Amino acid sequence: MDKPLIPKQEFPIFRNNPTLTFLDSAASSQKPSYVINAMGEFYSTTYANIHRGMYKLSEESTNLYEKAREKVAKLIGAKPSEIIFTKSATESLNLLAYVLDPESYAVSLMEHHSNFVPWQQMAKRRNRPVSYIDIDDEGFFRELPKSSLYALSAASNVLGTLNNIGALCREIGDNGGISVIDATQAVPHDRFDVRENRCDFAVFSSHKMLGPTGIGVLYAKEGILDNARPFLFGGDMIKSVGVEGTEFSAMPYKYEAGTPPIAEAIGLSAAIEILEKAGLENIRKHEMELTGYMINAIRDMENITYYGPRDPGKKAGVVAFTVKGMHANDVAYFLSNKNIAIRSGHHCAMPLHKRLNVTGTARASFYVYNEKADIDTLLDALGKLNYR
Amino acid sequence: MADTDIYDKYVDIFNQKKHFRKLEGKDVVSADSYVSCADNIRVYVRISDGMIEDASFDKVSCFVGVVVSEMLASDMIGKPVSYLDSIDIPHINKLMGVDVTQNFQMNGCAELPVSAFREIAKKVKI
Repeated sequence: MDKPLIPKQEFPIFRNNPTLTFLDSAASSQKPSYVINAMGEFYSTTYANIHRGMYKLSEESTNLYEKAREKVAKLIGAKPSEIIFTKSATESLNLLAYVLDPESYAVSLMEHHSNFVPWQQMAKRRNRPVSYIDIDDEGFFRELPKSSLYALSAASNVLGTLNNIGALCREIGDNGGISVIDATQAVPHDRFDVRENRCDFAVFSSHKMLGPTGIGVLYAKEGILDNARPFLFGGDMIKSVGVEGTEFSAMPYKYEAGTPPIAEAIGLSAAIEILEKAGLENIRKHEMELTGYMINAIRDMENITYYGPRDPGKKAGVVAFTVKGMHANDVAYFLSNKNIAIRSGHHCAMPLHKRLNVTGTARASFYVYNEKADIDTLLDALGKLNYR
Repeated sequence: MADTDIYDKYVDIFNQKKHFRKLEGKDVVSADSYVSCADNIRVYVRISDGMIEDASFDKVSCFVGVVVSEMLASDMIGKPVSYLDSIDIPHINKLMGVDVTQNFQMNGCAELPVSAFREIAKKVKI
């Protein structure tokens, strides 16, 4: 942790902003030159629309897009046919909310709004019951209620809490339920295997794992969406179209209507190469050390209240806190004046903040380019915070 | 003006919080306002014979929300109720001497008391 796992020099944002202390990767990560160059190279040398061109460029473009799908699948222990590219994790979850038709829903209070609101709204529209899964003060799920579908996060974007998703998915599956796992804060930071975890569905986004914005991933267990209706209609998702009706493509193409985020898939593929090269186990270890260091340091700061598990082995690399007598937004404003970037507010998790009885929190989050010195800079600034 | 200048310039107003209190009584009209950052303030206006006798606010807001609430409350006391209908972001810019629309976040924070006081304007049907 004394130095970044991947040198800051590999990220143009740090070369161009040498005094920047970036601690907001849970919102979105910075991009290495390797990813930026891969996308630029693709647009400059190989770009064409995929799947329907008989010419060489289109073939090459298609190959790169499908290789990206293979790389994503391998990363999480899935088959390529189980990987649907969407525009974001949010779209992946909305897709599921539209095409799945469970009798009842169970959603945890700790979910990001993207894994909360779609289910809540769809249940309301369909007049189906929703159960809300309570958490303890550290963010561990309490007992699961009986339900047909469960929407759960693998890692909380606020508390960092790592629930035992494998055990939960097994329990859900053994009782005939469907598990939808928001793995957005998990996949970028540690090995997350959908088969080991027995997830029915898992979603994550590229932009939180060194990749570009504009592309998300939906893992759907083989066979589970075969009979479901498509979410969007259009080109590239059909077998045949006629006035008498339309026959749809097989998985995963049935759910990829229109021209997909091709260059973004290439960028995501490059990001995965970087993460694999660094080693996901090493990333986890690096972030655990940084997290443990910060938790220990703020333990002795009287003006700081910490939220979440104290054991860094039970949480992802995010640290949520409040500063006594200061609004979280003002904490972020003051830190911003020292070129320290953290997040403040409810982090798209208002039900969680209501559960914690706090309006908002400040959140520092770590990734491969962070080092102990970044946290020291933050701690030094936190120690001097006040309105005067 | 940079954000820091606003903090420096208005920190006394923020710390004193002269109008941070609840008003009660038959002649008091109140309204709530929420913004997407989860902040929420309630504003109170005491009206007598078409004039604003007192104004205040409470609940949760950041520095900018508190300062704007304080400045509005202070400015409106002793003025006709029609003042409430004139409250908007350009009015805030004049009061603060800064264009809050230049900062997306700050604009949102300033909107909090603006919309609450305008809600009172609707309630009293100016």
